[in-house]
Amino acid sequence: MAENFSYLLDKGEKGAKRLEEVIRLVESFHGLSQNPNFKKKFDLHSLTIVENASQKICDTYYKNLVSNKAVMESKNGEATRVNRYKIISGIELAICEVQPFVLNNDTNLRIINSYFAVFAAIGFLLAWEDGTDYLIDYAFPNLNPSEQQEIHRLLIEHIDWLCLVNSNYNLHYFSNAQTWWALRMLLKELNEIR
Amino acid sequence: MTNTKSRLFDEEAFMRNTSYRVSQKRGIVNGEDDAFEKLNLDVRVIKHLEGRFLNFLTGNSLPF
Repeated sequence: MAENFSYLLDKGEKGAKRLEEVIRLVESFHGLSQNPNFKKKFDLHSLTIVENASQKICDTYYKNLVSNKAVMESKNGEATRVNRYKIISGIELAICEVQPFVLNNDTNLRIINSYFAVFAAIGFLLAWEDGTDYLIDYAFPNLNPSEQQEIHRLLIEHIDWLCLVNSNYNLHYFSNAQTWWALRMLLKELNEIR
Repeated sequence: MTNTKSRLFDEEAFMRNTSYRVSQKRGIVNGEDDAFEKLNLDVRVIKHLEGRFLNFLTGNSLPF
């Protein structure tokens, strides 16, 4: 039976824009997988994209948003809001649910898809305009090796966690959003203070 | 005796009001509308991300 992607289609032009963004990220990550260093790291022969991967990710994202928004409903009827960190969190969890890439061996399947989730999350973070401020323009000239290693380790721990996540459990959604919020604040501080 | 009740901070209400003020100030209706206006995942970002992420995969450098 054909998938109808009704949650995505209901979003109209906003959904179309989100789909374009996800397609760009999927194609970019797939392109990276051709790199010899990438292949060596994951003992990879080839990486294949599942059919309609980007549509599935977006549809899953919007489907999950409905249940997550239900948790956010305020008691006084005020409209609920989804900030950029919740969007990033939702995209990561949708990727983990869909598993858009398949490999010649399944050993590293969840690992590679988790790396892709972080790739997409960072893409969203870099590309978000904050006044005149873009994370892509940040520089960390005085970041010492120990600090750099620690942030690197944090991301690896996050990828390990993504490998274990297999549902849109509401607590995952909110807790993961907080992780990205905290990381964004840390990077902003490191960029501005030093 | 300390009146703990008076010290309780209604964080939920505070965040709701703060969020509302910020939204009004920046003309943001909600994050999805915000993303439609402010998320610019263009070629520059993709190229930057690809280069940094490959180094992140193979070493200890950061992907930002």
